[in-house]
Amino acid sequence: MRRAWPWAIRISAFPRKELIEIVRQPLLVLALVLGPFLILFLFGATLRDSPPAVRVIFVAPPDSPIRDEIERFGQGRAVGAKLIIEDVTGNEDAALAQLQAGDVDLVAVFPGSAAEAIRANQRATIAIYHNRLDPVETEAITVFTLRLVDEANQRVLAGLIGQVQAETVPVRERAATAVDRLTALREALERAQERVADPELLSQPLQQVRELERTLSEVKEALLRFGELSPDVVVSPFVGATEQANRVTIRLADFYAPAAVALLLQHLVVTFVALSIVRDEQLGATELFRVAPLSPFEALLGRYLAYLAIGGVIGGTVIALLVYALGMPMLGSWMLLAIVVAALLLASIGIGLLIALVSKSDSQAVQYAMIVLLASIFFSGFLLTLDRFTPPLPVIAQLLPVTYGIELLRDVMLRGRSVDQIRLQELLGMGGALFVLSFALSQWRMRRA
Amino acid sequence: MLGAADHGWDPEAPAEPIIAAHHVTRRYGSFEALRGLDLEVIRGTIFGFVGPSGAGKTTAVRLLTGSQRPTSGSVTVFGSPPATFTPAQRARIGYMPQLSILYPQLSLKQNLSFVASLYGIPLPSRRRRLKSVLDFVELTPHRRKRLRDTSGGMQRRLALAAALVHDPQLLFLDEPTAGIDPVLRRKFWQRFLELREDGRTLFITTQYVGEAANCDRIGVIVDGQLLAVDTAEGLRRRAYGGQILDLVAQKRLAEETVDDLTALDSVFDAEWTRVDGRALRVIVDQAGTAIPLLQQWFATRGMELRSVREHIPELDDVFVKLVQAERS
Repeated sequence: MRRAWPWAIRISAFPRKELIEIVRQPLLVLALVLGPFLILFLFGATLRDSPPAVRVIFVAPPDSPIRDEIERFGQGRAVGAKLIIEDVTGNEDAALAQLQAGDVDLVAVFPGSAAEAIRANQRATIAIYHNRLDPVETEAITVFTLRLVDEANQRVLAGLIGQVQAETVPVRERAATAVDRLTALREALERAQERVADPELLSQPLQQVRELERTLSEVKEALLRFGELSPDVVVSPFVGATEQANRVTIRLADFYAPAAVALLLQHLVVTFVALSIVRDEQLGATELFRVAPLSPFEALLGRYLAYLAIGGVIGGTVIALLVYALGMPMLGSWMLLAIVVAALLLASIGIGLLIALVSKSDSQAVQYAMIVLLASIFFSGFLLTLDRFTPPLPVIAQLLPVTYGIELLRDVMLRGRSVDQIRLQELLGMGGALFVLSFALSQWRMRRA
Repeated sequence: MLGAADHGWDPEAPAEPIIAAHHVTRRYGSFEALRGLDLEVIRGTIFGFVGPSGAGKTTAVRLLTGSQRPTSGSVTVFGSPPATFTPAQRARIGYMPQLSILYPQLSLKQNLSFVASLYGIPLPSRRRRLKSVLDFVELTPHRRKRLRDTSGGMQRRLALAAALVHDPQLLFLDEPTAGIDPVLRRKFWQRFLELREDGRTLFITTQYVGEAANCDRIGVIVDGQLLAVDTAEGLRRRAYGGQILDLVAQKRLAEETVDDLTALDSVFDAEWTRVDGRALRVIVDQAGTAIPLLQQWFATRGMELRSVREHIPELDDVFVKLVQAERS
C-alpha cells in the first residue's frame, strides 16, 4: 500500500486541505449554502406572478362623447386589476404633472375630435405618455399600450355593433309584421285561387308573394340572430389560452432558480480555485510543491477533486433546499442532475485555473473572476435569451460554462426530460480542454522557473 | 529522537559531495542574482551559506532544490540535476523556505499532515511521524492551534517540522532563524547539530554570521558571488592572513619591536593595539607553535611579557573583513 499508492495520497492532500480550510470558516459555509438559498427564497416569496397594476389617467375633452365610454370602461375595473384608472379628466397638463411626480404610470390622451375623425373614415390617435427609464419596462408599456388601444378599438366596435343591434330591433319588428301580413295575403290568395274559374290567373302573384314572404322571413331570422350575438364576441371572436407542454406551472422564481444555481456554482468555483492557487503562489506553497515529489499533474488533479467535492456538496445542498424547502420543480432524474453539475464544475474549475495562471495577486484574480461573472450574467442566457443577440455574441456565450449549465439544468429540473447530449458533451469537452490547457500552462511555467 | 535517516546513508561511507555546483549563474532578466557559483557539500555535514540580505542565498537554495533552473552551469544533488529528480529522489530532500508557507486556517497538525501527504506518507506511519517531529520541535502541546493563532517562533518551528516530516536525508533550511529570539535560535542550532549527528546533511542559509560557527563549512556570498568556502577557522585565516596573537608586555616596548617582529619567518604581521606601547597584535601561521617562539624572542631581548594569548575574532568581523577586501 505504502509503495503502491503514494500518488493517491499526494492527490488526496488537496481535497482534505481545502475542505478543512472551508469547514474551519463556518460563516463562509453558511454564506455559501444559506446565502443563495435565502436570496432565491426572498426572490420567490416576494416576486409577483404578474406585473403590478398600471395607474392611468385618461384625458378627454369634457364634451367628448368618448368620455362616457372611458368612464364606463373604468367602472368595470376593480382596484388590483392590471389597470387602475386614477382619473378621467380634461386637463392634460395636470395629468402630465402627476405623471412627472410619479403619482401615475401612464397618461392616455384621447383626441377631442375622435368621433369626427372616425366618422370621416380616419383613425384617431391616442397619445400615451410614460415616465419609465428601464427599456424592458418601456417595452412592457408599449405592449400594454397596444393592448389598451386594441381594447379601446374593440369597445368602440362593440359599442357600434350594440348600437346597430339596437337599431335593427324596429326593423326586425317591422319585418315580422310584414311577414305576418304577407302570410295573411298569401293565405287569402290561396283561398281566392281555389274559388276562381281560372286559377292560373293568380298563380304568378301568389308565387311572388310566397318568395317575398320567404325572403322577409329570412331577413327577420337574420336580424334576430344578429341581435342575439354578443358585441364582444363579434369584435373579438377568438381568445388565446397558453399552457406548458409538460403541464407544469412554472413560476418566475422557478424559471430563474436553475440559472441562479448554475451561476452560483460557476462563480463560486472560479473564485475559489483562482484565489486558492494565487494564494499558494503568494504564500510560497507552490515552491514547496515543486520541491516535494508532487507532479504538476497530481497537484492539478488534487485541486480538481477538491473543488468538484466542494462544489458538489454546496450545489447539491442548495438544489435540495430549493426543491424540498421552496417547492421548486425537479422533474428530471437526480443522477442526470449530478452529471450536469459535475460537468459544469469541471469546466468552471478550468476557468478558475486559467485566471490563476494569468493573475499575479489575489485582487487581480478577484477582478478577473468578477469579469467572468458579469459576462455570465449578461451573455449566458441568465437575463436575456441568447436569441436576442446578434453574432458574434452567441458564439462568445458558448465559451462560458454557465451558458451550458443554465440550459442543461433547466432541461433536467423544469422540463424533466433527458438533456441535449451534444450540449452535455460540449460542456464536458470544454472541461477536458481546459484541464489539458491548464496542465500545459503549469508545466510551461514550471520549465520557465 | 527522529531516528536515523533511512535513505541508504552509510555512516562508514567515504566523504563524498552530496551537492555540487559548478559555474552556476542565474539571471532574472538583466539582473544577475548568482554569478559563477562553485561549491560542494559533503554528506553528513552542516554547510552554512552566509551573506547579507539579497546576496543570492535563496536563489542558490532554489537552484539546489530544483524549484528553479540555472541560467548556466550545472547543479547536481545526489548525483543528478535537481530539476530532473524523480519523486523518490525528491523524497530524500527536506526544504524549509524562508517565509511561512503554510495555511493560516489549518491547525499546526493539519498543516503538517498536509505536507506529509505531499510526500505520500500513508496515514498509520504519518501519525507516528507527526508525533515524532512535533515532539522534536516542542510543538506537541500546541498542535491543535490554528497557524494564524501562533507566534512567529512557533511558525518557524512548524516549518522545520514540515521539512523533517518525511525523514529526509538532505535538508535545505533557508534562513531558519530569521526573526526569532536568541533563545529559540540556540535551540534551533541544537536541533541542527542533532540532525547532523543522525547522519543528515544540512544546507543552511543565514544572515547571522555568528551562527555559522556551528557549521562544518561556510560559504560567504555577497552580491551573487561566492567569496570563500571554508571552515570557520579557515575563513578567519583568510580574513586576517593567519592566526592572531595578542601580546601584552610588562613595560613599554621599543618602537622598532614591530619591525623586528615582522622580520621573523613565523610572523606575518604585527601592529600596536594600545597607545602606551605595551600591547601588540601579531599575525602568525600557527598560534600553537608561535607562542613559545615569541616568548623566547622577547625573553632573549630582556622584555618580559605579561600575557600571550590567541585571539579568535568573531565571525561577524571575519565576514566584514572578507567583504571589505572583496569590495576594495
